[in-house]
Amino acid sequence: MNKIRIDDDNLEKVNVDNSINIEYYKKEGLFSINEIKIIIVKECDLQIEINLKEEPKLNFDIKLKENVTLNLNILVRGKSGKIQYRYNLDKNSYCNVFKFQNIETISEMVIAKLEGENSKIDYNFKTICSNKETYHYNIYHNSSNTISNVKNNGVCIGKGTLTYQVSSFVPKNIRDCIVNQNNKIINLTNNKCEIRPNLYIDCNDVEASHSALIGKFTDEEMFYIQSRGIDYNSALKLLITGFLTSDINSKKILNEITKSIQKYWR
Amino acid sequence: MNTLKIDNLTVTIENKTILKNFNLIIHSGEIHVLMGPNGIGKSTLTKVIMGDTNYKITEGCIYYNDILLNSLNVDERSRLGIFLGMQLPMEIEGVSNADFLRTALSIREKENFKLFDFIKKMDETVDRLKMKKDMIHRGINQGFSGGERKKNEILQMYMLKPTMIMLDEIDSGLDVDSLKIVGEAIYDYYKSNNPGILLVTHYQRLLDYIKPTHVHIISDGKIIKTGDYTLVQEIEKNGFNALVEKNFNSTGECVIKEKINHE
Repeated sequence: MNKIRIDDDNLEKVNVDNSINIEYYKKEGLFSINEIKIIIVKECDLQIEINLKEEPKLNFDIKLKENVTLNLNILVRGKSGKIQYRYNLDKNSYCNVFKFQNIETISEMVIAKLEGENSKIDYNFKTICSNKETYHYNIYHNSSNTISNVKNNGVCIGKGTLTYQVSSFVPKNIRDCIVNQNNKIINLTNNKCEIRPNLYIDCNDVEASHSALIGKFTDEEMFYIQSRGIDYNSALKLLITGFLTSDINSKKILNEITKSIQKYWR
Repeated sequence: MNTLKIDNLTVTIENKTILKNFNLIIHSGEIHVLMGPNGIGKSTLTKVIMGDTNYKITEGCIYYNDILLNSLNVDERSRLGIFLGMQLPMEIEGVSNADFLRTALSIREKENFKLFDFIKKMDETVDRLKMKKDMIHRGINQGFSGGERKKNEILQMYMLKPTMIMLDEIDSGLDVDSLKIVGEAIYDYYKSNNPGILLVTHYQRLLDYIKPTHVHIISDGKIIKTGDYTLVQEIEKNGFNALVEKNFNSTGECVIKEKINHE
C-alpha cells in the first residue's frame, strides 16, 4: 500500500510507487496553506496519515485519471486544523474513501467533482467528536451516470458539537445519476449537533435519497443488549463500536477506531 | 430447584393498567403456556419480568429464587439466569452476533471464559439450528428474515444457558420446517437443562414439540383459567370467546371472566 504521512507542514512519502504523482507546495504569507496535489494514474491503494499540531491549513487536490480505482484510507489525529479535500474524478474512475479522525477541533471542506461519465465516489467517514467539528461537503455530479454515496457516522461526547452540511448537486441534462447521503450522529451530550442535508437536483432522471439522524441509542436497543446480561456501559461500548466500525474494511482504520473507543470507554 | 414467583403484580404504561393483581409461580422443569387474545398483556408480562423500564410496577413483586427482581437492572436479571426470547428481536447494525455473545459470556464467566469453547459451541449450535454460517459474523439480526431472527434467539438461549426461559411468540414467522427445528431445539434444551419455561403463543403447533405442564388463559390483566394441554385443544377448537365471558360493569369497564358451563 502507498503511504503518505503529514505532520503539520511536513510531508513524508513513506512508500509511494509509480501509480501516484505527488506535488507539494507551501504557500507562505498571511494565509499560509500547504497544498498537496495527488494524481492517481493507475489503480492503487493509498493511506494518508495526518498529525495536526500547530493548527495548519492543508489543501488536498486528489485527481483520478480515466478508468482508475483508488482505495483511500485517511487517518487524522492531533489537535486542530483546517483541511480541504478536492476530489476530481475522470471518466469511469472510482474513489473509495474510508476516513476516521480523532482530533479536538476541525473545520473541513470536501469538494468532489464527478467530471467524467460513470465515475463514482463512496465516502465513508467516522469520527468521535469531543470538541468542535464542522464538515461541509459539496458533491457535484457534472456528468451523466455518476454515483455518489456519502455516509457520515459521528459520536459526540464531552464538550463536542458536531455539524455535517452535505450538499449534492445535479444540474440540468445530467441524467441517470445516483445520489445518496446517509448522516448519523449519536449525541451523548446535551450540546447542539446539526445535520443539514441538501439535494440540489435540477434533473428528473435521478435516483436520490438522504437520511439524517441525531439522537441517542434507543431504549429498545439498550434493552435488547442488556437482556443478555451485558451491563449498561458495556452495552454502550458495544453499540458505539458497531456504529463506528460498520462498513470499514481497512484494518489500520479499524485498529485506530478500536484504540480511540478504548480511550474514551474503558 | 429454581422458582419464579409473580405475586399480586399490577403494571401500568402511560397510566393504562395492563396487568392487574397478576399471580403466577413457575418451578424448574415446568412448562407454562400463556394464551389469550391480542393486546391483553402477555408480552407485557415477559418484558416486566425481564425489567423493561417502559412499564411501571405499581403493586406487587417478582421474585426469582427469593431474590426480589423489582429494583434489579435488566442485565442483572439476565445474569441470574432469566432469558427472554423476544417476539420482535431488534436489528442492530454493526454489532456482530459473535461479538455480542462473546461480550455477554465474558461478562458472565469472567476469567473462566474460553474463546475456543465459545467458538466450538457457537458452531455446533448454528449447525443444530440449520442457520447459515455467516450469520454469526453479521450485525445482530441485520437482514435476517423473521424465521432467522427467531432461530437467532434460540442460538442465544443455548449459548447463555438460562435457568428460567420466557419465549414470546417464538413460533411466529417460522415456516413448517423451521418450526420443527426450533421446537425440537427448545425441547432438547429443556430435557438436558431442566429450566422453567414460560411460552407465549397463539397456536397449538409449537406445542406439538413442547408439551406444556400448565396452560393459562390471560384476559383483563390476569389469569382467568388454568388447565393442562387439553385446554389448548379446546381453544384451538372453539376459540377464546367460547371460554371467556365479557360483561360491562356500572362504569362501562369491560370485565372478562371465565364462562361458566351451566349445562
